[in-house]
Amino acid sequence: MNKDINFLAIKTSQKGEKKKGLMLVKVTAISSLILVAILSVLAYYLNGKIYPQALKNERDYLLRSLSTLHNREAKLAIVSNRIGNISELIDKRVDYSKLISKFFEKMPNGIKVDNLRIDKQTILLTVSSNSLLPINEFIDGLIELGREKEISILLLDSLSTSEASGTYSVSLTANL
Amino acid sequence: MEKRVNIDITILKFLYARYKQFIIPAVVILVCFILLITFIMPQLKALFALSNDAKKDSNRIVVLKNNLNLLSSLSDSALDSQLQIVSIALPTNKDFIGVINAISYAASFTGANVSEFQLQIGDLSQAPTDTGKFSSLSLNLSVNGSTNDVNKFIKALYTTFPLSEVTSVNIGDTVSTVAINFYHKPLPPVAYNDSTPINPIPNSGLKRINDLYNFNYNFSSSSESVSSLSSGLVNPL
Repeated sequence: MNKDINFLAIKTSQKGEKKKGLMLVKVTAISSLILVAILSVLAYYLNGKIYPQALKNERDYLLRSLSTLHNREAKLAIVSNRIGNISELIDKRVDYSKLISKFFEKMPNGIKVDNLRIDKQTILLTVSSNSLLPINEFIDGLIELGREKEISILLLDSLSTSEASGTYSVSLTANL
Repeated sequence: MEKRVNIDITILKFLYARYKQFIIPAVVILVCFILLITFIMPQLKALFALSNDAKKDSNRIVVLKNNLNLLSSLSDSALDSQLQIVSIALPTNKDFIGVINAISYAASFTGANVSEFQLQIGDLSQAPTDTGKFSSLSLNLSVNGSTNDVNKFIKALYTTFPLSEVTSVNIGDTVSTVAINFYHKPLPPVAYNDSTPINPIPNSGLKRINDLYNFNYNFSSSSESVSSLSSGLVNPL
């Protein structure tokens, strides 16, 4: 049998194409290697550049420093919280003593407080005197307080007189 | 009709001989492709995440620096003093000794005589929990004295610790009744978060603390007034 007979023998043109193809594959392989190498180096370089170790070190140093001041931080947080609460409380309180003082300022001589009841919304006041003049003067004073917006509504509930004691008695209601 | 391909060892040898020069470059391309997909692409993606982390950390470092500067600038003694005064002003629990001291102080200061009062304290065994609202001890006091004395008593209570609020006043001829709420509030839990900026006490808060130093209070259970204690007190302001 003749072994030299080969029906798949390569033609010259096919050889050229194969050479070209081989060259292309080799170039692609080398390019791939270079690309992988460049991208690896770039990734490594950018990794260090984007998030430098110095940044991490500084952050860790600051965190360590702050951990020693947690006690102070807690105190500051409590003081701030407490001040907020205290301010809220003080601001919402009604100073009744000021209000009572204002009432007494308007009270002329010769008038006596029988009863004074104050709560968050109303003031009930009963005063007595042996003359109507100081009572009138007192009511004028209260009207003035209304003009000063210290009280909103002033009602004269009753005006009575007692023959036995010879006094006039006035009951007033004022809204705060 | 089914097509059949017969591959035998001779054909494989022939194909190997014909294309063996292609094998190594093809393997290299394949390996490079695998490396690119499995390692380098995720690495590059991670760089974006890292960039975001770096930005966040940079911002965090600014916050941390500010926090450190602020906390370093604070004095422990000043903070302790402020903490002490705000704790007395608004106790964390039912401070019934403070309440009795406040009434006693206000009465002695004004000349009014507190004839009777009843304090319903309630459960002391349970630890107070922060509900966000103020809790209070309510009591009704019978005060003997002139109208002026009662008014002075109310005024003294207004500037005495623990903080209280007079809710109603009934001034009679000889005996007056004063309803008071003494407030307390449990502390909220303090959570450390290093990334949160710490704010200093605002000027309005410092002013408020300064005002509190003018209030009447006792550091101990004795009925010593603030004037005698303030000499030993460090005012941080």
